[in-house]
Parts: sequence; structure tokens; C-alpha cells
Amino acid sequence: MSTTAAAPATAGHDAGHAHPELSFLRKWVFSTDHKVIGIQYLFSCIAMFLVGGLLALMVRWQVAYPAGAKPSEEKVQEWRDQGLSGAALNQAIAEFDEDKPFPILGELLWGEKLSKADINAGEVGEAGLFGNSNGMMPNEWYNVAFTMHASVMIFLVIIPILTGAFGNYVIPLQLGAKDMAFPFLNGLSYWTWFSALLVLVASFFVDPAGIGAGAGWTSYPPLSGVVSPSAGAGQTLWCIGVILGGTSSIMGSMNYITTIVNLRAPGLTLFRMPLTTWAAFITSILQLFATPVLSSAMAMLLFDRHMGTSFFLPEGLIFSEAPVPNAGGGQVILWQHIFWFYSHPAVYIMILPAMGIVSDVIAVWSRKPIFGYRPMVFSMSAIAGLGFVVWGHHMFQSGMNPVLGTTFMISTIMIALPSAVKVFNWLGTLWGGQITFSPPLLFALGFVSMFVIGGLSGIYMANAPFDIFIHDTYFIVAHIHYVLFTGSVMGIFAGIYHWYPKMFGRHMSDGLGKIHFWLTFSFMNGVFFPMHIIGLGGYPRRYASFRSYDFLQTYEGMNVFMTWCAIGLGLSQLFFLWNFLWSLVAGKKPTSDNPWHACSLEWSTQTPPPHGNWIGAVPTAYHGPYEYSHPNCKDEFAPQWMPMQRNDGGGGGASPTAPAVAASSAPPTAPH
Amino acid sequence: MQQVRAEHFDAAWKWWLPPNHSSFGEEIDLMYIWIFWITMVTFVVVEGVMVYFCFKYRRNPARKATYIAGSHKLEVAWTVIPAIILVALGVASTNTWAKIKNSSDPSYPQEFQTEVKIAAQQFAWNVTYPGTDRKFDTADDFMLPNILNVPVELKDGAGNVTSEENVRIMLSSKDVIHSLFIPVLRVKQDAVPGYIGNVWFDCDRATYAGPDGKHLTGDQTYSEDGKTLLDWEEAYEIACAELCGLGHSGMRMQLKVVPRAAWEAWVKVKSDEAKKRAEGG
Amino acid sequence: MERRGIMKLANPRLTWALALTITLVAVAAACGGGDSRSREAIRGRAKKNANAVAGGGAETAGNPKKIDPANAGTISGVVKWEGAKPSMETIDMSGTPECAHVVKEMITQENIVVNDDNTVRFAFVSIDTADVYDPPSEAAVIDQVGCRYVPHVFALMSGQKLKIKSSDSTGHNVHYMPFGDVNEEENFAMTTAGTRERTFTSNDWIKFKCDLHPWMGAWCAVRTHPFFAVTGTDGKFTIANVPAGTHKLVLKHEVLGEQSVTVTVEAGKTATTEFTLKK
Repeated sequence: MSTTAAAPATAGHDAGHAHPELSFLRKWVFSTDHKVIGIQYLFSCIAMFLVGGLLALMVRWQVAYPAGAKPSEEKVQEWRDQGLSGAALNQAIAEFDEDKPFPILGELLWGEKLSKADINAGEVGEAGLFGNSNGMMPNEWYNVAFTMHASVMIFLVIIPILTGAFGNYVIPLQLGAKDMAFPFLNGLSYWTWFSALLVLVASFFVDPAGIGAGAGWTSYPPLSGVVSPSAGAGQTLWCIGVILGGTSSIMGSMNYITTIVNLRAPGLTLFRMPLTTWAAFITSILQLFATPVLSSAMAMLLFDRHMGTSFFLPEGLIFSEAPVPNAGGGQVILWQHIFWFYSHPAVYIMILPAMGIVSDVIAVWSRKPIFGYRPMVFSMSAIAGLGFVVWGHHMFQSGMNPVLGTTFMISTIMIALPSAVKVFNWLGTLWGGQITFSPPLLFALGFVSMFVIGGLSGIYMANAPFDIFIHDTYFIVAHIHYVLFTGSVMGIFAGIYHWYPKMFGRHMSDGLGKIHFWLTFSFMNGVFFPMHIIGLGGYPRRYASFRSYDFLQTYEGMNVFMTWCAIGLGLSQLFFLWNFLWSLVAGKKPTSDNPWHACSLEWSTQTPPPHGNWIGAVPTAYHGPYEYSHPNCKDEFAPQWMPMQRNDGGGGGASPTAPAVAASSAPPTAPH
Repeated sequence: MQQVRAEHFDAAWKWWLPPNHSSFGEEIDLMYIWIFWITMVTFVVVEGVMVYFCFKYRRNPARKATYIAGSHKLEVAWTVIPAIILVALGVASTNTWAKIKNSSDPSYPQEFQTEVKIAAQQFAWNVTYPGTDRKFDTADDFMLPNILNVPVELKDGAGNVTSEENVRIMLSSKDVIHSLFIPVLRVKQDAVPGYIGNVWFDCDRATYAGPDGKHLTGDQTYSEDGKTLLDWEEAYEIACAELCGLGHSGMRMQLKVVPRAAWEAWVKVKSDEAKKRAEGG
Repeated sequence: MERRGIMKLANPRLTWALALTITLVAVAAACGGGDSRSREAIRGRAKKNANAVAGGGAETAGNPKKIDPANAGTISGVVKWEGAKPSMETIDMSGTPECAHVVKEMITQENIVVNDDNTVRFAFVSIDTADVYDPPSEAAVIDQVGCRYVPHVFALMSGQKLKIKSSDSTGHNVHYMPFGDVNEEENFAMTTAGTRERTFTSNDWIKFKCDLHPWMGAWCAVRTHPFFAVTGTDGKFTIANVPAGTHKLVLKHEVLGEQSVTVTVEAGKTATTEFTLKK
């Protein structure tokens, strides 16, 4: 390692100071530059997005094609018509074989697929990597698949890509800061998160029986709290992984809060910050308060599992016909309170930054100031505040005191309000704009339109009496995916398409981006919308097979439809992947540092920005971040870093927006 | 698979709620209808406005975007109106909620004609009946896995029921959390270890009788050995709705809603067996 | 004028190393530690019994012994029942129509099965020895038919393949709980007809159950030697090729516990013995 390694990497941030050359390892791997760390997060998260997506496909495949397919009545009739009867007919039924292993991977993981005749004869085929169940996914592994799908998507994709990738990359640039307040902590946060990634991935492989963590991402004890065949070493690693991920979140959020409070450019008052940064600020506060609760819950769970405590284990538990020795005095519901005290805010941690990104993207691409900038900020704060007092709606049917149920119902219903205000404000932003349907805007519009569905379906869940029926059915699966996939993930795509030129100094292909959008938009509705319908029919979630229930047989066709849409959705992401990677080397180079004619500070520096972000002094913010199409402005847009040039030739001083003052303590005057 | 149950394969169920057979289920369904229409209207209006804006304000070099930074009046309007609707929805559903779940609420039933205990375990429901003496922890109690039979008084041959008969289930769990879910009765309650939860329901019709698809009638006779019940094909399904491990999707129980005479004959047979065993026969 | 909040942390290299170490230790702890300890703790009660059950259970090191027919005799005998016939609980499968359709007749639990001639079925009889023999190449089979295990009690040698078969189209899960220390507890689903193979490696007494159908239970005895038998519908057992000498013959029954007698086997001859069980 070079001699510079021991010195703080940010030592050279003073204006005009030449940077000493860093070793490759310090520059690109153990970097402390927020841009490098942001890109590290971005690449890791995209990789994990593929892993989580593959797991989702495996889940979908199992749901559509569980083992034990039986011939339909028409089929039997067909055999009869062919003259089969008696023993011959019975044999035809017994040898009917429509079980479909997961393509390619199925037989690799779960052994050779034998013919039904061989199975009935008691034959045993070649074993696969995870044991032998004739190539069909066993129930116990199905539980692992959906648990890890959720865990990967939440802890390794959506939260880190929003707070880690965008937070890291965009916040200091939008603030006019040369780096994060704690660059070293920033790097540490990434590598702690990366170790969480390794530990969570390892959880697939540690159990001798090939079973990872399979208690659901909510990991309710006692299922997760007692070491048993269904919750072995994989579950332990899962807890450790989540603690590591949480630790990383706490480091990151402290860093963002400090940076936003202390490192704003001259003139950049809080109410002149772009909404992406506002969202990151509010999200960080949420994370800082909520994540320690999750980490302590996980620690308690680990103690219950391995150290003989019984935080969550009540007296008289019987597992495998033997009493659990350390059980006694614990409360099962305590876990749910603690867990949801984190995990409900976590839902907002996963959506607020996307809301911020979408706000910026809509403003830029419709050439309009954000409609109701302050109401947007206040509604995000309200979502965050209310987010802490609604966790009980996950527990309506848990046996929690029903009086609390009423309370949580009201608070939950109220959280629909700020969400509605945001949607109306986005519509207001489009109103009278000059809308260009670029990929970022398409994804942002996709976010808004689909978030409406996710928000409205939330009202069904919030209504405690109706929740009795749809609780833990596919309705909630539909709801969460409408918020997190068609919401957050759309926001993430919008952000990637929007900031890609700034990050990599190249453009992504617009055409491929549009194909990616339309395919994703169509398929995701094909996957997630029917979930509302089967949820309404009472289809319980987390079912490895619908075959045991008469009332679920009718949904087989819909399950198959959703699964093929999911496969289409997965394949559509290849357009993105190709576009993303190919554009890194062959994308068109932007003609200017501000190719979108945007106003916020990140566009004032070079593309891509140099180490230290600005060569020379950081810019000064002269007004708010959304001065598009201002009637008194000479230009079509007024960048934040320049005083507004008035039509009448005047300077920025007489602008109806903010006076060009540098003091951050001046009362902000947002343009409304 | 079992015989096709006409009602369960009702085409309407595929796209809508399953048929409902409990009194509070009607209130729940009504709540759903209200929310459905409110959200549908909102959805159509919001998406409609969005699509309209996208079309109307698409890029046009001849025009400059209108600078609108916000509107105080609009903000107030679209905060207050939804707030009123949402609070009204919330208030409207508190009574139903209390009636179903809150045992200290006056609208909660005071009397239960039938009581059973269910202890859930991985992956079965152990149903304990109090036997002929209607008291638990006596020699004639009997336990059956995955079989829930409850009585009703029949009014007519169509399986309709004369009066409300409330069934109470004392729900517990031996190992992990399970959840008792009866779709057609709109019942769902977690079975939590270390805690006994109360669930109640009534049912407005008996389950179908026999493969011929005819309904039971009140004056039908039943064999003394109680075997008639075993031969019934028709039942409502009960599912486990909380992940409990690898057998979660197979943790199925049947609910048979049985005319009282038949039920009592059946209970007597089972109680006598249990007593005989308890006496060490 | 630039505000900076850059905090100088401790030596970065040291901190990186520390973070990495913590991670590795955590991973190692999770993989290697704790896990089996707790699993044993849960089954603590069972484990204590197991040592008694398994008849010492110690594996002898070294080469497996070979059966020498020239120097071996046979033990045969019968297990008798004393007292009134116990009545076993009937199994009501009406809540599980898939099974009820397969099994038409009324069936009962098989915890104590007394044959018509007052002998006891499903008693496991074995000689008590720590000797190790080669397992046979053919597999032992347990089947799940009509939501019951067939047979209800069976025995196999350590290292011998066990085929766990399901002939039912309805789903079962196979949850086996070894009482010994060496074999691992396992619980897996068989959602449709099929066969799985498992092997046990040590003397054991293993309970099989299906958690979906709580009445389903079976018992499996594992021995390192071939000198065991399970009584049938006539209550009789025959153990062939027993090395000549004096042996402790142990009977084990799932409900009625254990008994033992001493038997002297002479080469080429049959030693007879008798057990009597009562409630």
C-alpha cells in the first residue's frame, strides 16, 4: 500500500490542492470517496437484484407448478373415450406426470426427475446439490426461497441502493459538499454492508440438510427462535447478516445527517435543498431511530437461539415432542412489536428516497418547479413521523389487545393523507409542463401511477375488520410489491437513467430504456395485479402448494399466468443490464456537464465529477432548486449556482425568488 | 381430490370475495364494498388526470411551460377532503371490529352455545370437544385432529338456520405461531403459544350433505353410531394463515356445520369411546 | 471558506482489520458453534433415555466382524400378553378426505397391538453387543400408505440404506427424531408420491412421525449388527446366525418399555425364550 494510505484521504480537499495519487486498492476498493462508494453500492445492489430476482422466479415457479399435478377431469374423460377403463385407467392416472422442475436449476439442485412410473416403483434418482426430491423444490426450500428473496431485496437491494448508492452519490453533489462529513465511516459502512451480504449469501450453504433461513423475512419466533430442523444454522447467519446490515445503515444515516446539517454550500438553506436530499435527510433520521431497535431484536433472537435466554419463548413450548428447555417467561408478541417498530418505518425507508428521486426527475423532465415544494417536505416528514406509530397494523390478528387495534387503524388510515398529498403534488407538477418522455420520466410516471395502486390497496389493509379477511393473504403480497417493486424499484430505475451521465460520463440508450420501461411496466402489472384477486379469494401467502385446498384449485390458471409474467419481467431486465453495462464503454458522451438542463447543484460540476467534486471552490446556491420556466427569467431554466438572469436585464437580486445571499441563516423564500 | 363442491367452485369466487356465511362477515363485506368504490373512483380520477396531463402537456417547442409553484387552496382541499373520508371509514369500522374481537365490548356476544378448544401444532389442529357434559377437563372430553364439527338448528331443507348460535374457540398453540383462517366465515386469529385467544363465529347455514348434493333437513335421522357424519363429503375449509414451517400449506382442517340432532348423536359416540378409554378398557 | 466536518478516525488499516475480524468470527461462530448444542438441549430429555436404550451404543473401532455360520446358532421365541386386551384409540380421518378415501375400514392406533392368540406384535428384540458387522446391500423400506406408516415398527443396520417411500398422493412430512446422539434429527416434506433415501450411522431408536397427520407414527431401531427381529402377527421372532455364547437378549416396546433375558446359544442349535408383557 502506498504511503498515502495512512493519511486521511480527504486531506487534499482544500481548494486548488493537488491530490496525491492513491493506490488502486485505496482508490477503487477501500475508497473513501463518496462517489466511488456510491458506485460500489450501485454495482453490488444490481448484482444482488439479479440474485433476488432469481429467487423470486423460483418462488413463482413453485407456486404455479407445485409437485403433485393430477389429471383434469377432461383428461380422464379423454382416456375413457380412448377406451381405457378399470385397472388400465387407474394406471394411466397413477402415471400421469405433469410435474415441472424449475428449468435447468431444478434438477441441478434437487436431483434427477424420474418418470411417475419409476417414482411409483420406488426408484431413487441421482441426488442434486441440495438433496433429492425428484427435481422438485421441497417445501422447506420454498420457505428459504421466499425468505431470502425478501431479505435480499430489502436489505441488499432496495435500502442500500436508495440510501447507499443514490444517497452517497447524489447527496454531497446536491449539497455542494466536497465529500461526506465522515468519508472513512462511509467506506466502513459499505464494507460492513458487504460483509452482511456475504453472511446472508452464506446462509444458503451452511446447513447440512441444505436449508437456509426459512422463517420468513419477518422471522417470527418461536419458529425462528428455537434451533430446529426448520431453523438451523442458516437462520443464525441470517440474524447476524441483518445485524451487520443494520450497523451499516446506522453508520450511513449518521453520516448523511451530519453531512446535510453541516456541509451545505453557501446559500443552500434547508428549504433550497432538492427533494432527493430532503428525502435522504428524513430517511436517515428514520433509519437512525429505527435500526438500533431491529439490531437489538436480532441480538435477543440470537440469545434465545444459542444462549439459553427466553425473550420471546413462553413457557410450555414443545418442539419435536420435547419441551424447549430455555422456554419460559417470554412473550411471542414482544418480537412482533419490536420487529415492526423497525420494519414499518423500514417500508418508508424504502419508499421515501424513491419519492425524492421521482420528484426531481418529474420537475426536470416536465420543466416545471415542484408543485408545493414545502407541502412535499412536510408530507414526507409526516409520513416519517406517522411511520413510527402505525406498526400495530401488522398485528391486527396477532392477539394484540383489540383496543390497540382501533388506535392503530386510525393512525394507519391517517398515513394515507401525506401519501395522497404527494401524489396530487406530482400531478400538479405535470400540470402545464413541457413533458419529455425520456426513460427517467417514464419510470417516474410509472412510479406515480403504480404508487397510487399501492397506496389505495393500503386502505383495505388498514381497515381492521376487512383486514381480518385479507391479512396474510396474497392481497398483502400485492400491496407490498406495488409499493416496493412498482414503486421503489421504478424510482430506482428513474434515478439510474437520470444520473447515469453524471456518474459515468456517458449516456444510456434512450431506445433500450423505453423498451425496458414498457416491458417492465406491462409485466409487473401482470405479475402483481392478479395477486389482489387471489388475495380477495382468500389465497394465503407463503403457501408452497395450493394442491391441498379445494378452494385454491380455481386459482391455478392465474398462478401460471403470474409466473409467466414474472419470467417476462425477469427477462425484460436484461435490456436494462445490457444498456447499463454497454453504455459504460460505448455510450454517447454528453455534450455538456448539464445535459438535462437541470437546476440542482450536482449538474454544476464536471461530468463525471473529479475527486473532491469541484475543482476550486464549491458553488454558491442563489435560489431554490426548481427554477424551470420562470416567467421573469431570461433563460428556460435558472441553475441554482447562478443568480437568476432576469428578462429585463436585471441581476438576481430583484428576483421574486430568493435574494442572492450566501448566509444560510437567511429566511428561505421558496417561490410560493 | 375430493368431490367437486359446487359452492367452492362458484365462478364468482374466482374474481371476488368467497361466499359469506357469518353475521359479522356481512359487515366486513359491506366495509369492503365501500372501500372498493371509494378507491376505484380515486384511482380512475388520479390515473385519468395523469394520462390527460401527459397527453396535453407533452413536449411542444412552440409553448413554454407554465410556472406554477403551488397552490395553498388546492393543498388544503386535497388534504382535508381525503381526511374526512378516511376518518369516516375508520370510525365506521370500529364497531364491527369491536364486535368481532373485543370481548369487553357490549356488542360482543354474551352467550356461546358451543365451545371447543383448539391447540395448534406443527402442522395440525388438535380440536378438543367437551363431550356430552359440556365441560372441559372431564373424562368424556375427546380430541380429534383436523376435524371441527359444530351444531346449528335448521329451519328448512335448504340448510338455513333458525337462530344465531355462537361458537367459541379457545385457541392456543404448542409450538410456533399459527393462524386460524376460515374464509367463508371471515374468521382469522393467530394461535399464539403462551396465550389463549378467543375466537367466535356463527354460521348461517349447514354444510351440504352427502354426495347427492342435497341439503340436510332437520328431521333426517342419523345412525346412533354417529357414522353419518363421517360419510359427509361437504365441508368448509380452514387454512393456516401464518407461516409455521415446511408443512404450512398442508395444515388444513375441515369445518362441518351440522344439524344439532346429528351433532349430538356424534358427540355421544365419541364421548362414550373416550370414557371407555379413560376407564382403562 | 469551506466548512468541513472530517473526523479523523483511528488508523484506518487497523479499523478495517478489526471489522473484517469481527465478521469472520461471527461467521465462524454461526457455522461451527451453538447450533448442535441447542438442538441437543431441546431433545435433552430424550437423549438421556437414549443412552439406556441404545444398549451402550458405543461403536467399536476396527474392521467389521464376519458372521461365521459354523459357530452360530439361532434364538427364537414369542412375546406373550398378560391380562385384558387393551382397546386402542380409533383414528378418525374424516378431516383428511384423501386418507379417508384410501382407508375405508375403521382403523386404530398401533401403539399396543395384541394378536388374537394373545401375543404381542411390534416388539423389537435384539441381542446386546457392541460388535459391528457389514450392513446388507439391500435397502430397508418404510412406506406411507393411506396416511399410515407401514410397517409401524421396523429395524435396520447402521450403514444400511433406508428407503422412505410415500405411496400417497396427499402430502406428508417425514419428521424423524433419533434418541441417540449421532444420527441427526430431520424434517422434510414429501408433497407427492416418491422415495427418499437416508442412512443412519449408529445404534439408535428413532421415532418417525408425520406432523400433518398426527396419528401417523412409526419406530425404527438401528443396530450395528444383524441380530435383531420384530415380532409379527403371531408374536414370534427368530434371530439366526447368532455367534455361539451367552448373550443378553433385550426386548423393546414403544409403550411398554424394556425387558431383558440371558440366552446361551450353542452352535447349530436353536435356543428358545419367551417374554411376557402387560400393562
